[in-house]
Amino acid sequence: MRTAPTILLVIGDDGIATIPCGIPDAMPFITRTVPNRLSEEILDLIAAYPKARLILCADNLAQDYRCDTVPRLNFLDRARLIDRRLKQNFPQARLTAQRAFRHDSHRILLVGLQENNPIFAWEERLRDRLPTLCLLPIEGAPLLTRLMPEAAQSWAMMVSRQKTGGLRQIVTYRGNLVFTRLTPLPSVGEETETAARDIRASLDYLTRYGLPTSKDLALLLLWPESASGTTAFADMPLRLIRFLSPFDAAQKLALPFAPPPAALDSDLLFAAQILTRRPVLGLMMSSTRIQRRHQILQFWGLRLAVGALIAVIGLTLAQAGDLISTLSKTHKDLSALTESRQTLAETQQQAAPETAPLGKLRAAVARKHIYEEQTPLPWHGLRELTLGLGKPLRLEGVTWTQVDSSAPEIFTLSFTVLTDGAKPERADAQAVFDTAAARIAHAMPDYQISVTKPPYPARPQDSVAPDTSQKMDAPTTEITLQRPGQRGTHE
Amino acid sequence: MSKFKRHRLWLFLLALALLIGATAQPLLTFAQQEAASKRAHLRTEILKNRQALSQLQEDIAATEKLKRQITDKEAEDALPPVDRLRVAQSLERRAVEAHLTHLIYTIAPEEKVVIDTPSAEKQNLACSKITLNADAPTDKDAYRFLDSVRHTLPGRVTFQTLSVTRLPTAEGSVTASNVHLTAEGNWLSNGANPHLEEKRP
Repeated sequence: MRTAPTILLVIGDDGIATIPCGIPDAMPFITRTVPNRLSEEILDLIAAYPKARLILCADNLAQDYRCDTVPRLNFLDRARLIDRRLKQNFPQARLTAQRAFRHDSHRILLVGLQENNPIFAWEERLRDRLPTLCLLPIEGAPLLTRLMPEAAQSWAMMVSRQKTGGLRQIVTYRGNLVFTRLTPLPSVGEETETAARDIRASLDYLTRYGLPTSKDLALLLLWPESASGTTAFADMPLRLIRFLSPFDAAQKLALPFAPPPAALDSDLLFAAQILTRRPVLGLMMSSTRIQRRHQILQFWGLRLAVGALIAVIGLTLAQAGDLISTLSKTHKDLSALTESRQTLAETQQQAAPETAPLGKLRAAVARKHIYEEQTPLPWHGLRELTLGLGKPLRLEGVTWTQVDSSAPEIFTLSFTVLTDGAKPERADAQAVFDTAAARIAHAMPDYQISVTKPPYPARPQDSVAPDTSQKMDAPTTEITLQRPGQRGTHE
Repeated sequence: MSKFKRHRLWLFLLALALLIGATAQPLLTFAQQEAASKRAHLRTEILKNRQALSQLQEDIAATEKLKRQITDKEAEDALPPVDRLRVAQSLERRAVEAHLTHLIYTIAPEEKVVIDTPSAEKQNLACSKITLNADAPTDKDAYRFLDSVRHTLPGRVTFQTLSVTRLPTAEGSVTASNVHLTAEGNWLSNGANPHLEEKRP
C-alpha cells in the first residue's frame, strides 16, 4: 500500500473516478465527463494536496494495442525497429509505448494513445505536478492472473463493469495482455448476456491473435453470479467460466480498500490494484519527462550540493580546529621554552662562579693522577741485594734497567772476590763466589740469578788454561738478576 | 535560461563547496604543517634546554665532588707550564745537596704526548728524555740524588736505566768521587709551551 499521498484519476469516456490514497480526509468519487471541460471538483482536490503524487489512468476508447513480433536484434537495432513499428501502427498517436511479453522477448505489445484521448487534457492541465500516465488494460491485466491462476498458462479473459468507461474486456495469453475492448455499459442484470454477446464478437479477433477455439479460453466475470446465469454461454463452450464480485476479488487479493459488497462496478478494484503496485507501464509525455528530469536533477543536485557544502565546511572546521589546537599547543610550548630559557640562564648565572673552574679541576685531577702513577724503581731490589751482600765480595758496579712496568727488571752486578792480600787459589775463590751467589739468590727470591762472568773459566763453554799471571788483582765476577715485569717493583 | 534558473541555487552551493574545498583545504593543510613544524622545533629547543640544565646540575655536582679531591691551589699548581731553566737549576741544587760532583745532565727537547683519561679530556703533555752523569762519594748519595730528582721535578720522572760504578781509588780511602752515576729516564710534564701541538709543523 502506498503511504505517500497519491491521487489516482481513472479517466473514462463516461466519467472520471478520483481515488485519493494516503489522504485521510478525501474519499473516492466519480464525476461524469463533460466534453471540453475539466472537473473543478477534481482540480480543487488536487490543488488542495500539492505534494500528492498524481497518476492518470486511461480507461477509454482512444487507445490502441497491437501485438507484434520482433526478430533477434541487438539493443539499438531493436529499439529502432520498435520505434519504426510504433510509427507504422500508430501514425496519428500522440503517445506511444511498447512492452515485451513475459517469457517471450520476441513478442511485444505496442500501445498508442490517440490525440483525442481525454487524458492529455488532464496531463496538460496538471503538467506541473508531473503526473504519471498509465493504461487501465495494461495495469489491470495482472489482476486476471492473480484471481484466476489458470490464466498464467493459457488464454484467459476478464470482463468487468467500469462505471467510467463501460464493459471492459481484457484478454491475456500466459499472463500477457494481447487484446482489450471497451463496450458500452450494459444495464444492471444484463451484464452476462451483454458480455456473452461481446465475447462472441471478440472471438474473431482472438482467433487472429492465435486463440485456437473458444474451448481454450477461460472466462472471469467480475460481478456476482447471482446477478445473472450462465445460460448466455450455452452456445459458446468455454474452458471455464468463473464469477467473482469486485468485493470478493478485493478480499481475495487482500487489497487495502475494496468496493462495497454489493457493488457491480470494478472501478475501485482496479484502482486498488494500481495504487498498491508500481505501474506496469508508466508513461510520461516527453516535455513532462524533461521537466521531471529537471525536477529530479534539482532535487538531488540540491541535496548533493548541500551535502558537499556541509562535508567541506565540516572538514574545514575540523582542520581549523586541529590548526587552532596546534597553534595553542605551540603557544604553550613557546611559553615553556621562554621559561626554560630563563631558568637555564638564571641557573647558569648562579652556577657560573661555581662551575667555571670545572674544566681546570678536571684537568688538574687528571694530571695529578697521571703524575702520581707509580713508576718502576730499583729500590726494592737494591734493599734485598744489600741483605745478600757481604764479605768476601765487594760490589764494583750496579746496573739497573726496566723500560716500563711490563718489561722485566734486570740487575747486572759486578763483584770482586776479596782475599787477604795474597793471590787466592782458584778453587777457594770459586767457592767463595758460589757461596756469595747462593746468598744473593736467597736474599732475592723473586729474581732469577744467572752468572754471566764467573771468577774463573769454570763453565763448560769456557776454555781452561794454566794461570800464569803474576798480578795480584782479585778475580772479578758478574751476575745478572732478572724479575718479570708488572710486579711490586714500584714505590 | 529559465531552466538554468531552477538549478542556480544548488549549482551555486556546489561551486561554493568546490571553492572552499579547493582553497581552504590546501591553506589549512599548509598552515597546519607549518604550525606542526614550528612546534617540533620548539619541542627540540625545550629538550635541549632541559638537557643543558641537567648538564649544568651535573657540572655543579661534579665541581663539588672535584673540590673535595683537589684544592684550588693544587689545581693551580698542576696546570701551569714548566720552566725548564728553573728545573735545571733545581737539578743542580739537588746534586749539590747530595754531594755529587761533576754533574752532567741533559734534558732533551720536549715531545708531545697525548694521554687519555677516563674522567677528563685528552691531556696534552710533554715528554723529555733526561740523562744524568755524576760522581758521588757513595752509592747512597747517588741513590738519594735520584730520589730527590723524582720528587723535585714537576710532573713524573720515570727512570729506565741507572748504573752505579765504583771508581778506582786507593784502597780504603773515601774521596768525593768514589762512584760514578749514570741514569736515563723520561720526564713527563705540562711542558714549557702549553700550545706545543699547535706550533709543531
